[in-house]
Amino acid sequence: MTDPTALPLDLSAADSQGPLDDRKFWQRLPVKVWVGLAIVLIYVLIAVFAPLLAPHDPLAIDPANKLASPTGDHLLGTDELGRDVLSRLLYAARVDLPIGFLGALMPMVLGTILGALAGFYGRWTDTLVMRTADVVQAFPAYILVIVLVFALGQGAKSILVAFTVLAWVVYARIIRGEVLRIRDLDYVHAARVAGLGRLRILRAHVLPNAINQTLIYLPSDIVFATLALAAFSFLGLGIPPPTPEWGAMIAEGQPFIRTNWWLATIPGLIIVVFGLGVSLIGEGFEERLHG
Amino acid sequence: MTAFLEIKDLTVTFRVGSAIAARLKGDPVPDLVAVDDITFTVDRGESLGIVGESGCGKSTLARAITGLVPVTSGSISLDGGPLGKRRSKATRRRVQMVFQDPSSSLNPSMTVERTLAELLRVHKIVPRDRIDARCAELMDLVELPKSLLKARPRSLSGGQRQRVGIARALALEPDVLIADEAVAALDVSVQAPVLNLLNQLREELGLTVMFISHDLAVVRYVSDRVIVMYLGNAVEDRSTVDLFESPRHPYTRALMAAAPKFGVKKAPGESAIKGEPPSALDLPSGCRFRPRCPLAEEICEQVEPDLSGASETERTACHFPWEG
Amino acid sequence: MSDRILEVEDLSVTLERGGKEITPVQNVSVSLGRGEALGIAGESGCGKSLTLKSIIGLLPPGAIVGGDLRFALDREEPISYESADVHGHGIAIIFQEPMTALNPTMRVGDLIAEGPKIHHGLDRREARERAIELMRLVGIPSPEKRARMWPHQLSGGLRQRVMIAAALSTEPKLLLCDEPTTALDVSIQDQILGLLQELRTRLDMSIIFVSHDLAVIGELCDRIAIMYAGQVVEKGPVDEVFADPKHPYTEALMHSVPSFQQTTEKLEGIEGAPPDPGSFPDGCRFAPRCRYVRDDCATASYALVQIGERRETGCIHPELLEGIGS
Repeated sequence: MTDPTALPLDLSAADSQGPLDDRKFWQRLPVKVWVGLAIVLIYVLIAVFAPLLAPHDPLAIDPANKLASPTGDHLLGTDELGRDVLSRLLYAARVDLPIGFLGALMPMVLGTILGALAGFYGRWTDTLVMRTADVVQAFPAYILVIVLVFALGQGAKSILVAFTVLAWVVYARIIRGEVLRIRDLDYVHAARVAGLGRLRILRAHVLPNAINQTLIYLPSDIVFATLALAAFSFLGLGIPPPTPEWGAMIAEGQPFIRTNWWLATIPGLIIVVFGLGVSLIGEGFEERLHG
Repeated sequence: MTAFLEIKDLTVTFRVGSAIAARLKGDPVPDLVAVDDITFTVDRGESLGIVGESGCGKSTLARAITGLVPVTSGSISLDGGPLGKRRSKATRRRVQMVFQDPSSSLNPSMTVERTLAELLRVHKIVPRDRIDARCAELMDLVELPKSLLKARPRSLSGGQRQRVGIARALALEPDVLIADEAVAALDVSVQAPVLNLLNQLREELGLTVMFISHDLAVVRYVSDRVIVMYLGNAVEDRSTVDLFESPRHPYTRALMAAAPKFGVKKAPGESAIKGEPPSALDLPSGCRFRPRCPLAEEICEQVEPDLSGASETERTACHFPWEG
Repeated sequence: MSDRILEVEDLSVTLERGGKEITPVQNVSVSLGRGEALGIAGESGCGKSLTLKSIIGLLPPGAIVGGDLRFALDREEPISYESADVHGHGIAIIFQEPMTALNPTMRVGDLIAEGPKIHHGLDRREARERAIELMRLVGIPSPEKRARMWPHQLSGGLRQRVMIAAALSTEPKLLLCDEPTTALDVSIQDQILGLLQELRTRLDMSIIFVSHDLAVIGELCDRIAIMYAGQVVEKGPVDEVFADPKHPYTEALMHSVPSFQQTTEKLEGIEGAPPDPGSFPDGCRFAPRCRYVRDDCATASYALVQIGERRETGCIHPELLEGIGS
C-alpha cells in the first residue's frame, strides 16, 4: 500500500482476508437499489396487468371525442383520434419494457460470448472479433439502424436486431478486457494445471468472474435502449402505429403541446422515471462491487 | 535407481518486445532466456528446494514443469514418461502446484466444496456418490474444519486459503507437488503451520516436493536438497546440510550474507553484494555472476563455468568454488 | 535541548468501515530519541502502518485521531503537532512499493527536485543540482544519466533509492519507513538497510521502521515495539527483546520463523489468524491464540507494565514464559 490517499495497507489486507461481513449479498445492497427495484417492479406489474388496469381499449377510436381534456371517464383525456390516453400509456409498457430489456440483454449475450472467445482464445479469433467490432463502431449508429429497419421492415424485431448488431461491441470490449486479466490469474493457472478442459475453464472459472463489469453496464444500456426506441418512434422508425408506444405518443402529442400539454409530457415523464429506476439499480450495484 | 523426475537441458525463452520492430531496425529478434539449459533430477519422495532472487527463473522453471509455460528446448520426464507440450488429463494430474498469492489462487465465485468437487468429478478420482465424503477427507488432510466447505474464498483468511490451495492440489492425488513461494504472502505467524503441513503431507503421502522460494530459511526448513539459481542458471546443487554448512558458490555465500540475521547489526553503508543483477537481455560474457563477484578473475570473463561436481547432487558452477 | 524528537502518547485511530466504527490503533505510546531507530513489528491488521501514517498525517479521510503527538524541531522541547510545522518539514516517509509511490509522469530528477524547489526556494538549476547530489548520496550510480529517466525505467532497488532521495530532499529529522524492503530481493534489501544505517549516522536522522520481519528490524533498529491487534504488546531494546521476550506473542513470533543459520527441528507457529480490526477480542487480545492463556486473561484490561529498566510488556502473566530456548 503506497498511495497515501487510499485505505491503509493493514485494513485492506484484512478486508480481503477476514470473515468480516457474513450478511447475505442482498442484505449488503444500498438503499438506492431497493428504490430502483421498486420503481421497475411497478412498471413490470403495469405491463403485465395492463389489460386489467386499462379503463378502455387503447386502440378504440372515438372521433367525436378527440383531444378531450381529463374527465372522470378519460382520466388523462384522449388523443387526436379520441383514444384513451391512460389506456394507451399502460399498454405501451408492454411494448417499451420488453424492447428496453431485450434490447440490452441480447447485445449483452452476443457481446459476452464473442468477447470471451476473443479474449480467451486470442490469435485469429481475437483479430476477427475485434476488427468486426471496429467496423461496427466506425459506422454512424443511426444510419446503420435506419438501413437495417428499412431492410428488415418496421417493427419490434427489426429494432431488436439493430440494437443487437450495434450494442454488442461495448459488451465484447468489456468482457475481453476482463477475460484477458483473469486468464492470467493463478486460479485459472491452477485449473489448467489440473487438466480441466478449455471450455470448462472458460465457462466455470473465467466467465463468472468477468461478468460483473457488464452487469454494471447493463442498466445504463437498458435506459439507452428505451430512450433509443422512443427516439426512433418519434422519428417514425420505431413501432408502427397504431400500437401504443411512449416515444410515438410523445411525437403524436407534440403538435398539441400548447393546448393539451399532457399528451407529450406524461409519456416523457414515464420514460424518465423508468430510466431513473434502472439507473439507481445500476449505480447501487456498482457501489456494492467497487465500494 | 532411475530418476523419478528428470529435467534435461531445459531452456525456456520468452519473446520480448516486437519481432517486427526489431526486424525493421535490423536488430536480432529479442529473446529473454528465463531458464537456460538446466539439468537435474529429483528422486521419488525427495524434497527439492529451488532458491534465488527475482528474475532468476525459478518460477518459470516451476511453470515449465507443470506445463503452464511452453518449453523451448530440452525435456522433462516423470517416471520414465515424457511430460511434453500436449499432456493427457491423466498425466497432468500427476504434477500439481500450490501458488503464491492466496488472494488470486482461488476462484472467488466458487465455494471450497465446488472447487474440490469439480476436480474429483472431472478426473473421476472417486465414484460420484463418494465425492462429498472425499471433500471432507481432503479438508481433514489440510486440517481445516469441514464447515468451511460451504465458504467462498473472500471469507477465508490467508492461511486458510493456502490450505484450500493445497487441498485442491492434493485432490488429484499427484506424485509431484510444486509449491511456488507458497508462504511468501502469508503473515509470519501463519507461515509455520503451513510449512509444517507441507512437511507432514509429504511424509504421509510420499509426495515428491519441489519448493520454490526466495527465502533461504524456508528452503532450509522444508528441503533435503537445494538448487540455487542466478539469472536462469543453476549455480549450486547440493544437499541442504552441505549447502548451508559450506556454501561453495560466491553467489550462495553472498545470498547468505545478505539475509537478515538475529543479533547482527547492520554496519553503515555495508552490503553483501554490490550492484544489481544485469538485465537478462544483456548478459555478461562468461560467468553471469562475474560483474558482482568478489573472486572474479580473467577466466570467469572468458569461460562460462559448468555445473559439475563429485556427483549428481554435489555440483557447483564456479571456477573458484569455496572449499570449506 | 531534549533528547526526545518524537513523543506519541495514547494514540488511537478510529475509522468507519461498512457502517461500523472500528479502532485499528488503540492507546499506542512510543517515543523516539534523536538519531535513534525504532522498529515497529507486527502482522497484517495490527495497526503498525496506520500508526506510522498518523505520525505524518496521511490517514484516510474520515479517520479520527485521539491522543497526543509531540514533535521536536531544532533545540526545542517536543511541542504539540498543532503548533509544529511538521508537514513536509522535519518528517518524511518512504513506502513499500516505490512504483506506485512515485509519480510515473515525472522524470526521476524532477521528482527529487520538487522538495528543494518548494521548501528551500531553489530555482530550477539549483534544485536539479541538489537532486543529483541527493542521488549520489543514496548511492545511485551515474546520477546525471538516471535523473533524466522515468521511474518505470529503473529497477525496484533503484526506485527505492529514488524514493529515499526524494524523502531526504526536505532534510528531515525523522524518516518514517513503511516496509520499504519488503518488495525487494534479499541482496537489494541488504543494500537498502546498509544505506539507511549510513544515512542515519551521517545525517543524524531518527528512523521509525515498520516491518513484519523481526530480523530486518533487528539489523537496523535500537529499540522495538511489537504490535498486535492495534496495541503495543511489548517494547524494549531490540537485543534484549529478542534474547528474552516478555510477551507470549513476541515469543511465538520468534518461534514462527525458520532460521537459515541452523537446522530448525519443528516450528511452532501460532494457531489461528491475527484478528481483524472489526472484531478484536475482549480482554487480552492475544489470549485466544496464546499457549499460556489463563482464566483472568479474558478480562485483563490493556496496560503496559514496566519490566526491568528499559522494557515494558502488555502481558499480565509474563512469569509464565518459558523463554526462547525451550
